Amino acid sequence: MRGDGKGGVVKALTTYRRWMLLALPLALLAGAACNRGLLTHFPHRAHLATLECGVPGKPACLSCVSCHQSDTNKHDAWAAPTAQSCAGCHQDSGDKWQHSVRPVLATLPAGKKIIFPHERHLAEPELKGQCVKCHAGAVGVEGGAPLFPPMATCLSCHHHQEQFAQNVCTTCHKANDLRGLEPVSFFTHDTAWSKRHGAEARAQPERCETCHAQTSCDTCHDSTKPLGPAQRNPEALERGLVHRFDFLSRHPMEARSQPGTCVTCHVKTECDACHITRGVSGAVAGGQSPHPLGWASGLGTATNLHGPAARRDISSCASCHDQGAATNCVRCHKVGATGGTPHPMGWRSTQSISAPECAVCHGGMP
Amino acid sequence: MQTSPRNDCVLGSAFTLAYSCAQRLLTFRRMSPRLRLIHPWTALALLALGSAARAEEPMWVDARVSTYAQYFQQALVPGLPGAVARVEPSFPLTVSAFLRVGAIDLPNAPDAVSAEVSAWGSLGPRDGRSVDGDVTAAWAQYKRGQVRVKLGRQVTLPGSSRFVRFDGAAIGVSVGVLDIDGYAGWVALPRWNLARGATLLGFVGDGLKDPLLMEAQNRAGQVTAGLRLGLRLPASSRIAVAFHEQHDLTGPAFRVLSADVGTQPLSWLGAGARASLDLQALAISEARVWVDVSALKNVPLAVDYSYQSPSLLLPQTSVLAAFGGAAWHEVGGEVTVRALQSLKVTGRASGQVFELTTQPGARGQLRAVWTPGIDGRLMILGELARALIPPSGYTQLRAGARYRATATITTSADASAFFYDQPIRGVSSSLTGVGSVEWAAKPWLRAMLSATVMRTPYAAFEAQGLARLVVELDPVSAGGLP
Repeated sequence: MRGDGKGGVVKALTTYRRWMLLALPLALLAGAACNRGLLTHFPHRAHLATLECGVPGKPACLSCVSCHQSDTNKHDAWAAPTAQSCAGCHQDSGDKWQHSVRPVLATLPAGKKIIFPHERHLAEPELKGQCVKCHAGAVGVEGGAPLFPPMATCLSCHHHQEQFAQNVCTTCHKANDLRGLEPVSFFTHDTAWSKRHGAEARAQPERCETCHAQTSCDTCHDSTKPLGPAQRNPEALERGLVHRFDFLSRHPMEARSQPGTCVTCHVKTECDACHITRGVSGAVAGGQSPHPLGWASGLGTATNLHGPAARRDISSCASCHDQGAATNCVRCHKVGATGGTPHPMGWRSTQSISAPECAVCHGGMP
Repeated sequence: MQTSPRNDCVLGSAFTLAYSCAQRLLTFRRMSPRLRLIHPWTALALLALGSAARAEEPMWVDARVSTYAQYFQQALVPGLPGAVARVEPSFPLTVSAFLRVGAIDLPNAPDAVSAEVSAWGSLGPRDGRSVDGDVTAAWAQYKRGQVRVKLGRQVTLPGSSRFVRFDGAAIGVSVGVLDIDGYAGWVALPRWNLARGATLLGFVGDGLKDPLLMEAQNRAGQVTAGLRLGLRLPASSRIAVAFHEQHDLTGPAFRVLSADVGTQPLSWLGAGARASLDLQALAISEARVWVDVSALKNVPLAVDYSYQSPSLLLPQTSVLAAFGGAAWHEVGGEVTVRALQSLKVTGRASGQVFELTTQPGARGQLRAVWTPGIDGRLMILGELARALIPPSGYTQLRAGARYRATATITTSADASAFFYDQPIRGVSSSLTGVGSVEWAAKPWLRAMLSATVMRTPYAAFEAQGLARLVVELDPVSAGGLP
């Protein structure tokens, strides 16, 4: 009893340490996450909103196009200011400009330009010539709206239901850009997307094809490749790749956890191909059995657990055991043998009893 | 809708392409006397074709070649009982190549044709095989208006949840709100099954050694066909029914009728459901219902219920398909919290109930991804997962980071520890560490070195090395992964 108590305390401490190991970095992450800025160091708000201007002795009021001088009729209206843009007011314009430009390694959110007539939009009464209605991030606080509007901003006015239903994206996106775009705010592939993508692909394959090739599916679903996606892409940390790390040890548990899920990608003979190679198969002379002693012998004995296991996940049995007449299941479970009927309660089939797979056990029946 | 992109592209596209090709060909005339004779006519033909097509989109080509060189120095799992584990090196080389072409013009049918070819090959000792390979996609599609026809090796998503690779034809037609899709062909057999290895590149050699293999690869009976009728409804809703049949050597392996619905009645609410009925067993093989709620913009929530009957997911030509029958149910949810732009925390949890078994299962995962700074150079990831899988289970702790050191060099490190509730081969934990350095030498050329070290129940120490070289003709969304 005493030993048990001490063991319990040790176990509790071990569990506590494990939780602390996770909680500490999470707390650090949460604290440090506040350090999120805009895409540029430039104080847009100060220049556009808080600077005293337009009165005698003060500079003229600025607008976005004072620095971002470009033709607003063009789709790619945004133009990066140069050091000259600052020279009108600042003597140390070179330093000021250098300090405020976007870091070299920063990447634009979408990375692609859209077909967008700025001038026409700025003339809309709702916008009143104000760029910041869409580019709120330019004058926002840190951690606020992004500098470049996500697609959700467009959809707040333009619903595009018809185009979306017809998979027409080229009204705003350049056709050549689509294949390289990653959805940021709309149709994003996050949250439960890994569970939804099959249904979406089934219902709207054309929509997927707008961006993806069939090779996209094969990247994960083609299990015949010698290298799995987790091995091929060790740097893709945020991807939910199921076979990461020590999957060899976990795979019997994972298969038991969600029976039948493996056959989404793997075919029935694939498991045995690997087991044969590693000598853990009945198909290899002298091979190790993965089952414990007494697994399928001695009717009603405590070790004879193969029945419930097969009931729970017959697809796991099928991954190693032959599925035709040669399977050792037939030996005991065929009609007249000692194993009894393997069919579950309420078993129905439209197959004739003379069908090859039925005749294996019912061969002697009329 | 504000503008039309056609204004930008009508005269661009085919004419420009043809003109540019003509220019190049004329330049190459200096290279060979034979070219000098051919190219002016070719150039003229291209110009004529280009001006006739007046395509909306210029022809595009995506291509990627990925080469992986591996090195193993591992303790193999024991073979015969009592055998000493052997340590041996392995250094296979794997190459996968992908080519996709689109917006190819036909006379009076601009942008009508697209095509894709994808294949891989492996050379070097691995799992007792020295040469291996497969063609995973090889199709061409013609699309005109609301009709599309695709021929060749392709993938289809039938009524059941599984996707099927086949060599054949797929036809799709949209009539108003009705979408009709059909497909038929020979099933592309999995190359793992050597006795039926019709798709093995190295199969011919095996077949010559053993004529029985040639005989067994006959795919005459291994055919598939299916039809799907979909209806697009208002409020981003849809409903569809589908039928899928797939034959094995001995008869119908899958004969499935399925239905699926999806709707988004509100901008923040989406829902869907799908069910498949096995027509041979007259039983539901699987069903799923889901609801996605994003009423709180930064806290999207997803809830799922799923049902599966594993024996009905086996081909019904399998003797074992008649042995099972116990289904299982799963209820799960996932929520992501984006309280701060740089921090994303995702929690997942699900519970499983197995018919005929009293012990339920459960899984849970908590993941935090932090991307500090305005340039996104650093990403840090932490993860905790717990799985209860009676009679065992495991706890996972994971930490990883990726750092863009310079404009061209990115490094990553990833480590994970698993603690098993029941020892595996007498060992209760495993530890894995993965590191990588990638150099984007050019926009079209990336090289990566990676190393993995592991301590698992199957190996006291295991090390693997991987070198990856990726050449990309154009940035594509081919899964985003090489």
